[in-house]
Amino acid sequence: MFRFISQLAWKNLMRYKRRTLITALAIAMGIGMYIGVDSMLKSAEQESERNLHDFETGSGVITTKAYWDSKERIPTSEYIEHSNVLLQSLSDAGLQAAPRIQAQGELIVYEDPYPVDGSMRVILTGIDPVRDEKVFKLQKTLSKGRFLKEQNPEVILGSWIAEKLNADVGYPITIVTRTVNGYMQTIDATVVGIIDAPDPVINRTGVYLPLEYLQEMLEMPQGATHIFINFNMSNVNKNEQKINEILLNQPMLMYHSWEKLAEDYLAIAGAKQKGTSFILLLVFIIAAVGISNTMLMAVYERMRELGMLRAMGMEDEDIKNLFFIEAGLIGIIGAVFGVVLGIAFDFYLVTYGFDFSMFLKDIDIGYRVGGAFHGIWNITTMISCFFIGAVIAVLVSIFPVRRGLKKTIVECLRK
Amino acid sequence: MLNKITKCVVSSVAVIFVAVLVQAQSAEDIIRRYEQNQNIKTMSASGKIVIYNQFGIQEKAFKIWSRGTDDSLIVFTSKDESGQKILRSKKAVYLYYPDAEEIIRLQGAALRNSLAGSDLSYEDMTGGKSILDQYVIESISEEVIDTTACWVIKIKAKVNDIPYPIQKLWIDKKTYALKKSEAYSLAEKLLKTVYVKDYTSIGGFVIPSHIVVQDNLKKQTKTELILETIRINEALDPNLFSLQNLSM
Repeated sequence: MFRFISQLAWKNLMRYKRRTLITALAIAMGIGMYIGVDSMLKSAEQESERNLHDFETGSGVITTKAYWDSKERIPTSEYIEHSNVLLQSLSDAGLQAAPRIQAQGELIVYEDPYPVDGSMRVILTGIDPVRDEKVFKLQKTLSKGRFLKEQNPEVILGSWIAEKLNADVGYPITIVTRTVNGYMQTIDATVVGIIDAPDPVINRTGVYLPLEYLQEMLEMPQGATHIFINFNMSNVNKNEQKINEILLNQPMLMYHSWEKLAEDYLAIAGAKQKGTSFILLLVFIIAAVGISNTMLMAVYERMRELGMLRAMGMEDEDIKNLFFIEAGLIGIIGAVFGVVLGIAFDFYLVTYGFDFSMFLKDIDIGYRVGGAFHGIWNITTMISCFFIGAVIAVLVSIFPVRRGLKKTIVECLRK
Repeated sequence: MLNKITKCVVSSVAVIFVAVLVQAQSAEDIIRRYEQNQNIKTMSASGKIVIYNQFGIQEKAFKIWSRGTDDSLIVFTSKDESGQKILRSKKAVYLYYPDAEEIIRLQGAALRNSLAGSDLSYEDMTGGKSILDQYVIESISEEVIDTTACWVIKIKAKVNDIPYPIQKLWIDKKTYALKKSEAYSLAEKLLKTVYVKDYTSIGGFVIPSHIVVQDNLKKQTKTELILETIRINEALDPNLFSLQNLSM
């Protein structure tokens, strides 16, 4: 009986080829879009986390409690006083660490060599050229000039900041900031290098100076606002335990994991994921309404046929199965097309990607993806989409089929 | 012979020390006299801020009331800024924007923002403390500016959390009013110049009525502050400097 019903279902689908195709395409579009968007978002998340680790957070950071409590204000005066002692302890425990200073500042440039006078509010970052390399990959992204040397009044700019200011290597720049004692301070520096990092935040906001020089200018000898740590992420608990043991005797200091440091990003990424899931849910609902409508039409169009089958003794249960198999077959055809479409979309994303760099220069979308948004091959998503497509098609056909079967045989034949 | 030399050296050092001491003392007196000249119980005035920058010239009219050195209220009356208010008390600076109907307390880095787009910052408005409580006198000399004989007093910060670590003040020898001031960064780079073009003498006080402020780091900008009708030591509404009044 099942074989007969399956054959009948297939014949029915072939009788209404156009309708079958349109319905299957609606499912295919939904699945294809889901696979593509999911691939792009997962790739953006992976790349963002990698860039956060390599350029912004490391594996974690030590700050003073006071700094952390008001970190949004960048309170440079709440710094770690004897950072060298702490760095030595971390080094003794086998941990790679790099001190940094972050301070608010303003860049001021003048006509000649710059095209016009101008100024820009920025966050200054003081880095130790030797130690920083052990935690971050900033030095590897230098696209022009050279890296910083200790004690010199020199600066490295992110490529988008440099572009905005029309700055180049060798250009002078004046920086206005505050010392930790609250005094206004000026630094006349020279641009010695330009960074082009895969992390857009670095290109958009990066202004780096030598740590020792900045310590002197900000009246904080041996001080650092952050000590970033890099360790093998496969052994997080053990390494974090080591750090916390070192900090036991220093109640003013706190360790924060990269997740805490990047919680703004993670919150945005989470919200984006929810938003995208909601949009994709809407796409699925539209496809589901399409299938449901198709099945309703199929039931009503074939009401006489249905009445005749029932009059000849076909059980309601078999008729239900007939329509469910029809819906399931539409779902499978749509899912196959959808997965093929998704693979094509994925192929383009993995090979070429979509280049949004023009927009990302001025807008922070949260993701740390510099230029092209690429995709990843996600077989699990493809398989689950295939099954979900087929199952949803069957589920949404239940209502119209049951509605059609509520009529009596006479009512069906009269139709 | 050696004894004579020793005596001579000691007496020379003593003379120099006393001379420096006397000069430092007199510099402090000059500062005190200058501050006394500012010690007006109440003042009200109307005036305008004229801002010159790369976008052209903008004028902003305002009314100002002040009580002692701590409290002041500025209400903008020009069309574009009509109703905007700035209240300064001993502890804080508050802004009121009529469109937003909201009072904003300026704190931390926000105090460094420009006052109405001028070369003055909100921070420049804060702090009614005496100069001598915040700075030590580094040197004193004399100079003539636009035919006005002035003392030039260089002061250096002795407390933290004040924006300008080094300042130079040109004080009129006759009136003890400020003629010019320069503010420097810790690296001794000139940040801001204030120049008094005109004064109004009223009730025994010499009040600067036309001030030119220049941000020396931004070459194409200048701000003029002009006070037109000045009244002093008149009774003011005690609620004038309250937060309730700010949003009314």
